[in-house]
Amino acid sequence: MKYSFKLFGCILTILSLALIGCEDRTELTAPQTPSTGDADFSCFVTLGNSLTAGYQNNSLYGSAQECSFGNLIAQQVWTDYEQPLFDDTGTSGKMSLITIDPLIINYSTESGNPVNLNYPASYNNLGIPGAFLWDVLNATDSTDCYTAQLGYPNALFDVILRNSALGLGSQFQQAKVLNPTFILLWIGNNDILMHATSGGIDPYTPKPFFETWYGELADSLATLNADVVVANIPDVGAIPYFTTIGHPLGDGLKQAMAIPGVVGLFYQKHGETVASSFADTLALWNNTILITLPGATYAPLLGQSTGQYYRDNDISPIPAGIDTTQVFGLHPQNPWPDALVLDEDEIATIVDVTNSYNNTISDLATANDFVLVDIYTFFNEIAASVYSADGLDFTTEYIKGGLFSLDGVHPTSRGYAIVANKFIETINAEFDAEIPYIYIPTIPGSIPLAGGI
Amino acid sequence: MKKIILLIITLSISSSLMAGGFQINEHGAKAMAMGGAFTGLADDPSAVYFNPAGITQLDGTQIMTGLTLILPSASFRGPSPEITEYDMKKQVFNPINFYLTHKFNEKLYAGISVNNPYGLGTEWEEDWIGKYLAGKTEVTTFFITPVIAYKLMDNLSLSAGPTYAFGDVAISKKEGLFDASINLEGKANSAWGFSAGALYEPIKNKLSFGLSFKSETKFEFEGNVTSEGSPVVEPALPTGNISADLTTPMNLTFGVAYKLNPKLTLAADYQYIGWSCYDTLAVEFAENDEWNISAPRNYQDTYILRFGCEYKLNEKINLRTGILFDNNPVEDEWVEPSLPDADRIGFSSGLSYKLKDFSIDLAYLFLRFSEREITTSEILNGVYNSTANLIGINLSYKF
Repeated sequence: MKYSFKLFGCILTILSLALIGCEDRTELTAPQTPSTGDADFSCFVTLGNSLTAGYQNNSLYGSAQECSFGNLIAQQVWTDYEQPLFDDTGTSGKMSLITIDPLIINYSTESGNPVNLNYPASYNNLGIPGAFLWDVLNATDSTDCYTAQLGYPNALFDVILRNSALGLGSQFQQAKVLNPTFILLWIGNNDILMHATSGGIDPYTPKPFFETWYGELADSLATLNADVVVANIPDVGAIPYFTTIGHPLGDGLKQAMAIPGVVGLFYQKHGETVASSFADTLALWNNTILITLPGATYAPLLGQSTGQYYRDNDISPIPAGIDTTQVFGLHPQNPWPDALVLDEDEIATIVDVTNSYNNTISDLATANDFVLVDIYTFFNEIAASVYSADGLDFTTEYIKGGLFSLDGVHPTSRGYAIVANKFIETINAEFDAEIPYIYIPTIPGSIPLAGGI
Repeated sequence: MKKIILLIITLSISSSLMAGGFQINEHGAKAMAMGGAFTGLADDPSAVYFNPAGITQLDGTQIMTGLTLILPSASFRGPSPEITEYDMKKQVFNPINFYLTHKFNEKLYAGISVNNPYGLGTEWEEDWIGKYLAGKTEVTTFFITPVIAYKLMDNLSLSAGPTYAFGDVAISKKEGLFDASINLEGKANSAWGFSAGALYEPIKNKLSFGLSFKSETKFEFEGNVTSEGSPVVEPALPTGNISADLTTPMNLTFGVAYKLNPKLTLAADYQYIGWSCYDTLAVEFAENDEWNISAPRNYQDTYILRFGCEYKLNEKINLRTGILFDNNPVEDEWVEPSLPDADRIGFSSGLSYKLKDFSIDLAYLFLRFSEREITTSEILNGVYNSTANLIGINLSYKF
């Protein structure tokens, strides 16, 4: 029996020792400096427009700029990256959600202030909301930027380039002074987007001009002895600015079609006053023609005798041929306005111009040994279905999709992080780097809600 | 009897957590102290659960009741390069158990068990990095199993009985778009399964084999979802009545016990668990199917190996110890933080003290989860570290 007791004691002792040796092994290991491979991020500069600036919800403001794709990438590679930060009031017109159902949005009339205007050198993020391709190489202030020549001076050029104090010149010239080692360029969107958002009224940059100007910019960048990554232009027709209102307007039309004599939505083609064309409900539901987001205000007026569109937009006198006593949208003499619709011809033009721009960007990237990030294809893949990232699902649906901010054009903070991860994916592949991806749920949701987010 | 069961249920406010998946295997201090290797032994009233054929070894009427205190601890850090460590909130769970057995004659025996074989309780810090994946998750089940056992031969007994079960589920987590809180509550009032067992002693009082089977049990939870967020976005947040099915797995356990001598008994169990029944966690909304949830779980069948021994110190005191190796049912790709599972090794010890017809059993079990580094998840990569301390106590009385 003593033998048994010893055996039992032996087993118990061994297990007890094993238990003692089983202390919590939790330990924190400091992360290694991210491997950037052949890429040198010691001086990292981004050039471009509102997308580069981190603009969203129709405004440039600090908490959004923190999530610009450039800043997010800079954090992943542990490099310094100065931005022209604003406070969170932001530039005038910041949108916030008052209610989601019914959809009511507030546009702030307040203007915030820049918070680091006195930064003594050029910013690393030189993206300027509203910048066109031409501006990157040439524009130095609000009076000589591309849109100023179209009658829309852009004060953000003064705030971001600060040439009255620095006197260093355009985005490109300021980047050159910084002696950059790595440049991200995403430009050309506005060259077609302004045309599209105006319902095909404002001009787009002619294809030959785009080719020439992009060529000049590429030649200039090639002289900087830096790694250059460029992004192409997404399909503007798939953003919520154009895909949101068609469905509810189609629903309204379906109800109206029950009234004898109603044949469809009469809409102005470019150059028309009295409408010659009409769309059926399927064309609206399927986005065969695209209704712009500002059409949200007028969609509920379908079938009413109203001239509110002309009053709201100070169009006086009302163009000859228009009769606002006729039912709005359902009669050729009170049609859905040209500025709120892209018809099939306009959509075809936009597709053709975008493809041409992207061919130019691709050809010049190859010729200059730049790395191309194919945002066009990436965005089309996202638009085609649900995009899942780190347990969160995203779609291009307005607001609820999580990718686009309230302006329907610019990404949310998480949308920018997804773009940043696409840049990182390409950089890792092309530069033999292992930059960690941004974990999307750590990026805050960024739809401003009335009363604070 | 009914009153006793109701009393126990009422006293046990919350019972949950810990064993591979959301299974709890600690339902009696003797078995627990022996690493759970009890199917071939099954010689106290907890046999109704572990191997109901074992109740043919019990004279007269016997009652046993107790609880297991479970004190889990888990942490997460990641995803790389994030190094902040997040701790799961400390909680104490107390699954209960109650057993009653009766010998009608030399051949026929009956018993009933009430316990909580499945449960889960995890709660992470409110603003932790995985807040859109898991916040607070609680699953509680009660299983009531009456059995009949029959001594077919002097050394062979068989047993079977139905299982009636019911349960609650409560899940709270953050919704991704507007950071609103989503709260889900559900109840399943009746779920059915069955249990069977066999005990064979080829060498009387020396060597015995046990076989135990427990069927799948399908819980059909019904309840509702409420959301707390900004009134601005309230209409877009999921609310309303929901239904969700949850099936607990089949268990098949083979055990052997060998009395080396009158003082020392050795035992071992192989427990096979059909976790592949848990492939999707689906929640369906009655009023709006846009909010339906279908989360892949993709559990695999798995097994636990158990070894234990008991030493009879004297007529009053028995000493016990054991070890178990529990293989987790989730591949790396599908690990998620509401149940951060990992392979486990458990060390146990305990003792019993007998005073005439009354006895008390105590057990302690330490579970160490393998440090689990996830790099292939599509939802959350990082390192999980978990341990659990379990204390079991049972009181038994032989009428």
